[in-house]
Amino acid sequence: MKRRFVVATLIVLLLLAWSVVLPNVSVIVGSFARGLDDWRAFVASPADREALWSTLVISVGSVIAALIIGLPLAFLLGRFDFRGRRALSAVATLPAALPPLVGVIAFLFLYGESGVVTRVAQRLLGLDHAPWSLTGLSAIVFVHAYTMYVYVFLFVAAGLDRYDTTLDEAAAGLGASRPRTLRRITLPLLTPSIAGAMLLVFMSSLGSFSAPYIFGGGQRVLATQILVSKLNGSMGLAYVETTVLALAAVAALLGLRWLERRRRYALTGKGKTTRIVVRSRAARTLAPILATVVVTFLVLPHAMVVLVSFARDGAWTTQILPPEYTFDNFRRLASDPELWRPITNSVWMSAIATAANIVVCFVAAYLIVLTRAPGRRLLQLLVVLPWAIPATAIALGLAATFDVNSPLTGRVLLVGTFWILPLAYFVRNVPVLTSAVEGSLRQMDASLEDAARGLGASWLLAMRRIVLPAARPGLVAGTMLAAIAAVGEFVASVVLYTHSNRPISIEILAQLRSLSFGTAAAYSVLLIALVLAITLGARLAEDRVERI
Amino acid sequence: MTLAIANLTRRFADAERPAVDDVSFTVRPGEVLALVGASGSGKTTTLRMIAGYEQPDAGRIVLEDARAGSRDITAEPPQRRGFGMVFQHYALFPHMPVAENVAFGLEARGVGKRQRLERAREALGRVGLEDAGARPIQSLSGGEQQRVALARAIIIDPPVLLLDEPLSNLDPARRQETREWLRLKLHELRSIAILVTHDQEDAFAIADRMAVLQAGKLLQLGTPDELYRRPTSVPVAEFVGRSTLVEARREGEQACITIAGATQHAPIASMPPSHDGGALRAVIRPEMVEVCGATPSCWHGIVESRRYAGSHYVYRVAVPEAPGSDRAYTFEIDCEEGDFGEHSKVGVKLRQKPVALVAQ
Repeated sequence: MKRRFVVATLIVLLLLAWSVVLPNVSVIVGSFARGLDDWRAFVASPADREALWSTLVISVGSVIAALIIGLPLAFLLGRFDFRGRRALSAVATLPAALPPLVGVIAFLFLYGESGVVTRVAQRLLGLDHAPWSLTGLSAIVFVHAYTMYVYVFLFVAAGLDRYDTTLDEAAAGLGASRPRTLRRITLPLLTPSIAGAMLLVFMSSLGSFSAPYIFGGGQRVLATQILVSKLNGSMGLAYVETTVLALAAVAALLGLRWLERRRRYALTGKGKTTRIVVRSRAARTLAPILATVVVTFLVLPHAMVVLVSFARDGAWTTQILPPEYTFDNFRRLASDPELWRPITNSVWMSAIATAANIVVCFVAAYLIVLTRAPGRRLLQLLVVLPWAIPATAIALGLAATFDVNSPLTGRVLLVGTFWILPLAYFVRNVPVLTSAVEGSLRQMDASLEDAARGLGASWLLAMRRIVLPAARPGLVAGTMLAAIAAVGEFVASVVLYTHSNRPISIEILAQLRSLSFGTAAAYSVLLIALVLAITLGARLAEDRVERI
Repeated sequence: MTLAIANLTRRFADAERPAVDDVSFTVRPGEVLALVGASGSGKTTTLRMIAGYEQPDAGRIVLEDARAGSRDITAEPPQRRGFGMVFQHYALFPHMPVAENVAFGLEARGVGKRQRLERAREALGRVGLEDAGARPIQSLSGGEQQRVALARAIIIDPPVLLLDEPLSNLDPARRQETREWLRLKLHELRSIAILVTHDQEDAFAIADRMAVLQAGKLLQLGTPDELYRRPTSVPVAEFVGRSTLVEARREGEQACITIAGATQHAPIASMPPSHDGGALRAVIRPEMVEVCGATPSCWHGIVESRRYAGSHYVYRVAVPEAPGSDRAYTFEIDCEEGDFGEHSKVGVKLRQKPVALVAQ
């Protein structure tokens, strides 16, 4: 074994042990700091029991809701050709482009008690109160369904893309009706995609923080309960809650992974995909109308945030739409250094975190895929660990670990400094970037590197001319996802921020609290603009990759 | 049971020409028909329309039965047609073991589990795989997969069996063997069978009749022998068998073929169906000519290559169109003896076998 690989593996392992494992260990150790007292308190507390229960209900509900929206949409766009298909597929993934907190706010503006849609419905029905209230479990599931069906849609669409439609044709030719073909052939073969998406939705819902925090309406969930306990100073209880949340996540991970593996089949033969052209008259008139409705529903939150960002703070009271419009919100952000600060904070912190991610994750993926370095299996486990642990739990772990200086145990005082947030973003984004690069490297023929070396290329030249170009698509895509997640990050930030390093998301929340809707929306628009800029940057980088 | 195809036409969106253009033919009871042609000829689209996976833009597909009367199935979905189909890549369901795959057609017809598995075993027996029922699909070889696909298709007693490139996924050794086997099986079934292939040897070996398609049009339909001996057009002559096309004229019952001043005669096997007096070409097959020493009455050429094919030698002889011309007809000639070496000057002589004439 080459020495430099062993050394590199050791360094990456140590780094991950320090940033990923140590915080989790601290939390578990912390939960037993007073023996079993905190665990007993957790079991005895009705609030915690309620939180655990509603967390599970929300997660299961979100999975079901996301399946109900995402599955038909994926089939509709993947299997059928109809007028409006292009428009629909262009916006189908739009909700994922909305930073979590911004999506929640958009829903508040639209469907909240004084939201636009709510008021229109109230006016139309002639009621003197809002026809619904956007609080509690159903509201949280509603928001989750909107933001998370995209996972189901993307996974199933990708599955359908690889799916061999002659299998369906064979079933039809043998006399199976459409429903039977779906039940016996198509869905069983899509199980890995569906299970993967369910897992993602379940994990995201489990750790979801923004929606319950903003309109939980007194509804307790574990993720928010952890913050409450921390703010109350009951750190032991917070550690217990965190451990329980993480355990639930790991259990879900193992369960759905099992389902995913059990149903994975190598498809024989190479398939082809055909789209069914919608021919019946009823369907042909209905399809564009339905597509328009869905497109409107998907675009509305984005449009609403943009609209409100031009609304004068305080002027919007009982009207359906904000009555006065102004550029003041943006002007104030640009001119007041104190208001501009969250933006530079977010940009810097996400840039630092992402840069660190690029280096560490590339090395990790390289070691995992292309070398036989000892310890790479452990490495493989460590790089997905942050994914299995809800963000609140990660944040609390970091808070628990880096609040004192104790270099001998690997603990440094970072809490209260600028560096704690980039570290949190870094940890959260290790899985996404590593797996993206891994994916690209796995597609590369491993003998290419050997071939280059055999032709006399130095290790460095082979790296630069063979490995890096092969890794680049994954590197670009992973970097994009990591940067987007970091720049709008809210869940870990709310646990760890200080006034001086507050990111955009925290400032949005603060503005919302002081009812400055216009300013909050203006921040949101800037955040969306940043996300767009990152996406465009990645597109450009991808184009360059293609031309090479 | 007869399958009648009338004026079948299918044009895909943004295609220059129809993929299938006004194709009509009738398949007789128990007949094995091969649709042959190069890729893009429309043979697979025709098959998919017969199966019901593609809807024709025009034309009709009718099943005629002496007892049950005729049934227009043009608009019927594949589920209702009850035809068996063997797909090019077999399309076996990867999540079901062999027996469940084979029994699926019965499952769709509501047959109870025990009965359908029993019949699956029986169907597997007919393709020589009676003990493979419990095996996963992934463990089968290419040839076995094909047999399972055939068993799955015949278990529903289809009036029409459709096979898309049934031999294209097999290695050459298996291919010979499977060809023979498939021919016997298809004739044993006594239902109509239509297979698509781009390989004329497969069609020769398996089919009773062949339909040659080109650019969506049906050029000629006939027995392999008819297509070989009496092609009616240049593309059919070129696609079916080896041939050299040489300008010719008709003199009474004789074809006169002149190359570089030397004329030879041969009886006429067939004339193009609607001959308007335009230029003709003779379709000269390897067994219609022989290599001889250069005499004034024969055509003069040079042996380009000679290879040994076991039972005979195959010569390639280049005969210049005119003395000193760069352009030459190249004849493939099967000879029992290999008397002439490469690069030697030889004569090419007609053996007085009937030649087919086709329009230029």
